Amino acid sequence: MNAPHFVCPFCGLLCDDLPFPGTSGLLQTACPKAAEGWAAIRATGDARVDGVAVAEAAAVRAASAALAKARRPLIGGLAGDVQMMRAALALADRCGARVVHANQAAAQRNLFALQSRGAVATTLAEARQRADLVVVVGGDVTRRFPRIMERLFAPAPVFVDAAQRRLALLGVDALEYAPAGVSAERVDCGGLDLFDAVGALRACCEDRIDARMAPAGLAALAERMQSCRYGLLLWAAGDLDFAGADLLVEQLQQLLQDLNRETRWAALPLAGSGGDLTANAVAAWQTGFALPLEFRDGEVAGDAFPDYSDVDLLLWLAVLPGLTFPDWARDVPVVAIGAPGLAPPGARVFIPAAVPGVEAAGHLVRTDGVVTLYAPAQTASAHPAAATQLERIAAALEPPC
Amino acid sequence: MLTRLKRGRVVDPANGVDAVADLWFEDGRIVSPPAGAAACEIDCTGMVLMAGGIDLHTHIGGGKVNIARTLLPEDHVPLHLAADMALRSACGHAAMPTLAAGYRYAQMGYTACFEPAMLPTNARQAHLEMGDTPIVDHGAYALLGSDDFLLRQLAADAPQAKINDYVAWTLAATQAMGIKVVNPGGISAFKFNCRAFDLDDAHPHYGVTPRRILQALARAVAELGVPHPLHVHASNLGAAGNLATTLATMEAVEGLPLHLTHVQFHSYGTEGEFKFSSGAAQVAEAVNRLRHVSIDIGQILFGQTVTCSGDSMAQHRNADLAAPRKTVLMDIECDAGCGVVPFRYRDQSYVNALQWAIGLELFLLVEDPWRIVLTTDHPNGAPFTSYPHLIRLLCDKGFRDEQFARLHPAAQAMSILPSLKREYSLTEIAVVTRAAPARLLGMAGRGHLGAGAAADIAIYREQADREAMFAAPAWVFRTERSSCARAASRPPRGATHVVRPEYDRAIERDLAAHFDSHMTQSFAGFAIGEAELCEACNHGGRLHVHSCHTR
Ligand code: SF4
Ligand SMILES: [Zn+2]
Repeated sequence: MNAPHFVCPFCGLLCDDLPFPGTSGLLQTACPKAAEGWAAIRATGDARVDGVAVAEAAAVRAASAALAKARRPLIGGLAGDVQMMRAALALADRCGARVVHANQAAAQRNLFALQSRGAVATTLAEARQRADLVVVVGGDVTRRFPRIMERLFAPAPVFVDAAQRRLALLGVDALEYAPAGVSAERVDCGGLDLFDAVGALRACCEDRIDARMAPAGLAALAERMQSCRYGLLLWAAGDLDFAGADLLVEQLQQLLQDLNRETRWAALPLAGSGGDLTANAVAAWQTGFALPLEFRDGEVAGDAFPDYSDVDLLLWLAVLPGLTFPDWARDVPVVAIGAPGLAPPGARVFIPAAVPGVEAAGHLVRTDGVVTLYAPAQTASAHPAAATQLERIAAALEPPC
Repeated sequence: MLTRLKRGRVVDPANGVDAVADLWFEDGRIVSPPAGAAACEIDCTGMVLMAGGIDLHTHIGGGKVNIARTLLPEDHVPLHLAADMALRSACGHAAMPTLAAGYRYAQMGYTACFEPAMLPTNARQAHLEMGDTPIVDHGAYALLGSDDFLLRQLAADAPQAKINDYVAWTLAATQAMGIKVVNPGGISAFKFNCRAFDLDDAHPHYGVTPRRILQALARAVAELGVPHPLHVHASNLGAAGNLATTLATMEAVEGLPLHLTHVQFHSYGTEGEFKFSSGAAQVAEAVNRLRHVSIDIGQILFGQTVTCSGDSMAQHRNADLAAPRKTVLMDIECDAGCGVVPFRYRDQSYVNALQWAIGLELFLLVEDPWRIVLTTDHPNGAPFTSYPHLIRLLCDKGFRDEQFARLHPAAQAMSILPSLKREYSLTEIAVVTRAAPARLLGMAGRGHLGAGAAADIAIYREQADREAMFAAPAWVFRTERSSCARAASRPPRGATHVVRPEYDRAIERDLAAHFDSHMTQSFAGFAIGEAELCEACNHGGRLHVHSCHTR
């Protein structure tokens, strides 16, 4: 039998054109992120309660008891697949828990802009086949998504002459993993910060100001933006780590809406690492709300600005790498489910679970939010999937939670 | 458990029944009256028994609906559900989340729903969402017609047999129940910056016309024996004067079966002061005459909703009308696109008021109820929760006249609605909400109450106020046994309905090459297998593979 194809779960690009690294321990790819992710999930480990190795069933009982006792539990982390998220929401509903993804701050930069002004977006294939002008905004997206330029610029596009493609960097100095054969031009913003630079672009594109009043680099970019056939704005919300970033995204989306009156433009906001798009998609389709959200008294509601001060138990889910453990949780009791190498050091209870795409099959949502891939298992797993562990915890709860 | 529903009025048009009688079922199937005694008896005196409702066009799952949910947190009002049913917390209104959609459909006596616009590249998400839609059966139509593979084949004059193979492969790979086309070729044309695209316009890149696309797909669906006719969202959605395109679309397929969806949005003339008028009479006349055509209405009802369409070209045109003012447009993966535009229909808007009247005119002017299905194109015309209100409008001329009197006066002057005396009977309501959709989908065991049919039964207290009657059935039975060993859930999970016509697998070589040149995922991982589908559906429901009869 042929080995199932490998869907790399280590960032939101979900590349499925690489071979599985097998058991050799090294990913046969130049992708540093994949190598890093692979290393992070390689550690093995047992279930633990208070630092002592125990049988999985005992850890499940301890987790269940802790959850039953908690008055303001929070389910966080959420780096996993669709099935894990389904089980997490069902458990949260039973326990009246809040549900928050660890990448929430970055995700909300795009979310608030969407909820305020809408969006014009595209997917990887359209971007690759059509874009004759790609503008990277606000950060070196290739650090978080190392193969994005390769995925966008190779092989040759179908609907545009490869030689006509241009790549511009706005508020970015250089790309670590630049595409082969395409030169990236840094846009000279004449000393304007990113907000003002995007404002100037909008003003030029709408003819609200004489282009000669804008810095020459921006005026020239605006001119090219209006004359290209299919333009692409590319950013990673994780890179826009400054106050008011959601307003910048809103400005970018309005710029796209203006441009689409005459020509075609769209955004490809890069995301999806650590299961953030997956978790938000499941939350939205089941409850209507993007994360964070809260179950309380038989109702579910969005909770855009959660107050963590009264959290008395954190159920931390991470079967995929790449999350940052939150500062606010340092003194909160933690029950963790995930890959052994990803367990927070101080967790009172740890329950190991299989990694989707490596040890278990799982559905994951790609960066464009449209393509969901089914990542088959590559190896046998010593542990059940995270969803199964969550279902066991739920089954061990005395009703009602 | 053998159950007897005693002395109810059984309204079962598929079997020509409207009479007080007992109805028996056991193990999820309706049975002939047996000799023995029932283990359970329910007195249905004063009640009306119908088969479970079937919605053959409702946007319940998939990318654009999820965008709408995320776009509109203000839309989601809590649902207060029976505490004893082990239901999940849920909320929703127009951009209905999956849990709320399943519960609310079941509460109205509906037991099957079909997502009409599943993009092949987004099919996994659609099935995951439908799998999280409790209680009701579900299925989806795969959307073709602006996908680059089909357009390439047509541009190269590929033989029809190859188109058929591609369509059959798509049905299998995406686990679909039928094929839909949306603004044929137009979603693709919009990516090339084309802003309007009529039936005989040439595609800016491929040179193919919408007429050619329609013909190729209608022929493929017919030749493969797919029971549901090609499901068509015609060109020029919502544009004044689109009536001509709609009539030409009906004629374009030369007598092959065709289901024209949300026809209300395609029945507009250009007469009158505002250059916007009703084309209902002409469209209904054509439907009455052309026996190969079936329709659903896409009725609008007043209030806040959100429009979710694959028709990115039309939705871009509508963006300035958005209320609240936020629109999402997407180009999607050499496959299709979408547009999400929140919308508030107002009875004091001339255009909205006339749209309301046009939908009702169509309902009342089309003579054969077996070729018309009650829909609001949920949520595009209104949320599906307004069906009971719509049913009352059809059944109650006095109520209809009262509502009509509230419309913008200029719209009243432009509608013939008051002159239409027809009132739908309960039998006709049963046809347009269950029997006809079941027949149009080729679901032999659904939409009727004959022996052997699924025991999907809605029991309504008979009331003169049809809105109250249909809003809250006394009982809903949804009792089919699951075939999956892992199913142990309460409330029940619905089944997935699919078709799988035969095809020549040689097409997969061409598709693999197309994936290499055009797509950004590997062909090897594209198709949704049966085990995966079972996981997507939470290991709950059955899989119904409906047979295709090659004509
Ligand atoms: S870019 Fe992301 S998905 Fe692709 S190989 Fe690297 S880590 Fe994996
Ligand atoms: Zn529709």
